[in-house]
Amino acid sequence: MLRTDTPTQKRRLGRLIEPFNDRVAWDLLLQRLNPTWSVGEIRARVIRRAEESDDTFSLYLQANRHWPGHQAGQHLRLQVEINGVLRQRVFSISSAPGKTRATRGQLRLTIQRQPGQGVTDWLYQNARVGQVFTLGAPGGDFTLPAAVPTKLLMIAGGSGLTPMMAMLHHLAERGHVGDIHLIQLCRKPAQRLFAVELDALARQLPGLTVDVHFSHANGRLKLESLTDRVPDFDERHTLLCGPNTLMEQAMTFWQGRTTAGPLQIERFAAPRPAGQSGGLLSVTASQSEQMFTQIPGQTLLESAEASGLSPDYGCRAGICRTCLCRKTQGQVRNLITGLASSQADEWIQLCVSVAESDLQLDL
Amino acid sequence: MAEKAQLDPQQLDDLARELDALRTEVTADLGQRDADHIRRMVRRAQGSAVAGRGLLMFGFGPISWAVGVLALAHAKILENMEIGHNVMHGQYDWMNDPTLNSKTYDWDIVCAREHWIHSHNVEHHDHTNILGKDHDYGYGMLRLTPEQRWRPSALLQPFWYLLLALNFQWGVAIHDIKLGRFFKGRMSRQELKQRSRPFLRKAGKQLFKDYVFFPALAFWQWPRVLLGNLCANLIRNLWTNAIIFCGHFTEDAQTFSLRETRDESRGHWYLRQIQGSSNLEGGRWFHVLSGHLSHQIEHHLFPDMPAPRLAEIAPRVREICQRYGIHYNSAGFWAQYRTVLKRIFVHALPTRAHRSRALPEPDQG
Repeated sequence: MLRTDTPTQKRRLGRLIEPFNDRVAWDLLLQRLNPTWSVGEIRARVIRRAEESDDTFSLYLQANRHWPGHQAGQHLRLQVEINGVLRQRVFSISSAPGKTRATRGQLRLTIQRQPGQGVTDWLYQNARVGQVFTLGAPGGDFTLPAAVPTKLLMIAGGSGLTPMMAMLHHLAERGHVGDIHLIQLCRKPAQRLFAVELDALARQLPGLTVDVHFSHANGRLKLESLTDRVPDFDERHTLLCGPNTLMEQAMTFWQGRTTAGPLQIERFAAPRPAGQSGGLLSVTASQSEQMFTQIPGQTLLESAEASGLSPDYGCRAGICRTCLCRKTQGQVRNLITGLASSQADEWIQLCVSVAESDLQLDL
Repeated sequence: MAEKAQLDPQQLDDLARELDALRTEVTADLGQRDADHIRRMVRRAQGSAVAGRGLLMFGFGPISWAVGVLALAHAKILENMEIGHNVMHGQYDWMNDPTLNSKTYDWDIVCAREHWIHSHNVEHHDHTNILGKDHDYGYGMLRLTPEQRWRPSALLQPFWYLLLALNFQWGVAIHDIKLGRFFKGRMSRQELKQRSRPFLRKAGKQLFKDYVFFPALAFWQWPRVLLGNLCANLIRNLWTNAIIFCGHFTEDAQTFSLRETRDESRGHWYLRQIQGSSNLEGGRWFHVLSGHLSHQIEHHLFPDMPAPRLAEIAPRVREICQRYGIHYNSAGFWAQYRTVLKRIFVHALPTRAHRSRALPEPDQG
């Protein structure tokens, strides 16, 4: 039999020098000396904490040399240990990428506390200067186009402003002179984020207009009114980040308006699948030799968990791809893209997929 | 010898309910201190391994050699018993830590993880002490109860046992290949090859590490390292063997027939786990070095409960047993181990069921 499988050969070689190639063991040794040291993991120390509003705060982090640098608008996965359990959550980076080697590892995360939502609530109560967290690599394609459009519209709902802040800082550093119309949505003036910082940015960016909309006083932002509110709406490239309902409305609005410019969206929560009627679909998890049914109105990940399986997961919102799983048979629909995966042997994200036929998963 | 407790179905249901409630209570309370415990154990095992291997490689003189051997043996025992065995049971899966997950953890022993998970977690823990189903009962080579068929080879079983104890990791490693089936012609050569593959891979890796790689790293000190690693493995083998044999083969540990356990209720399953297991008493260090298998009864009731919790619930399990009139088999290490050795010697002879009942009572502590 021909052996062409190089990864196997690599593993074989790796076995010979065990335990000296054991990254987990080396990390364990290094962390006795300094908790941010690691042979491969991105770890970061909290160097400052700042309160941005009554429920939102920023963590300034210094990452170790494994941080590859990010693009403005990207997010990362932060891991915390809550009562012995490792949990992860995805946060947008609200600082511009550092340009030099020394500043590359300086990051700022701006986090809104969500009651009952484990990770943000835990961080709000416990995040302190000096703590060390493990991070995932930066990800996401909610970034500025390579050639920055001369006319931008940014719509930021609540903490959806965080990736925009990174972009604005990045544009300011580059001396961008184009027109940027930022609509900042918040409920009340007390909850408005980055008021001072946006003023400073407006001084650096000659084209920046900060347009604040308080929904408590003025009601929800009506997308139909955008064309009146924003001059030359149709000529603008729009970046939008905010609550699900806003993003869904925006998608419908943009679809209905053929003259509108491109719309770029960052999602944070997985959209809910519509409850299906009809027969229950069964899923075979071939590795664990178990079967479960797709529960109507739940994702595959939730259905698997409900039946006692525990697939890996990270963000539960279709972002981090931790729950990536090989589908060997059947059809699923991705709720974010709306696309169906009907081929055998495709990788699917369990947290945002629902079964559309009986399935076989490599789980 | 203690008699098997006879409980009616109602009592069995009550027993199951009480034990389930106990499990629910502990599960709800799992948290930081359990995570801290296992991480501390991992650090301790690693520190001990580094110290031991360091002393063997770079030390000189017999004292540093002996200390090195003990440190390495301690590391291996801790890693196999308190960390490996327990992590691979899924006791720490709830931590969501990929380095302490039962799906991925591999231990420092020649036994391949996939073999062990099948023979131990599936066969032994579910079918505990059911003759013919629990292949851990006597490991296919020892006759420990008159219900097992006697063969002339059993006469030599004290000698077989000594061999097994010295090479225990190998016994455990080849256990799930089920060589017996091959020799009886019930397994094809092809299947044998297939089944042996994980074992051969793992064994090659372990042998290379302990007997080629580390000795080679020590240059002219290689005989010292090689011999040290051999002794550390030997100490680990003897210790784990003694602890594990005390878990199910003591005088009062019951065996069960297939017929007895057909259509078994949950309560009956619990009852069998209690009666088929035996506990060891000792200090905190003893429990840790035994991987808390000194609380074998509790471990068999709740195999996926983090081990230090077993010691905490032991008094309550004992109290429950007392109320239901179930014999709670617990004694010091030597008292229990003596009865194990006695069983090995006694059943080397063609004992018969009714005769064994008449055997003199062991003088326990």
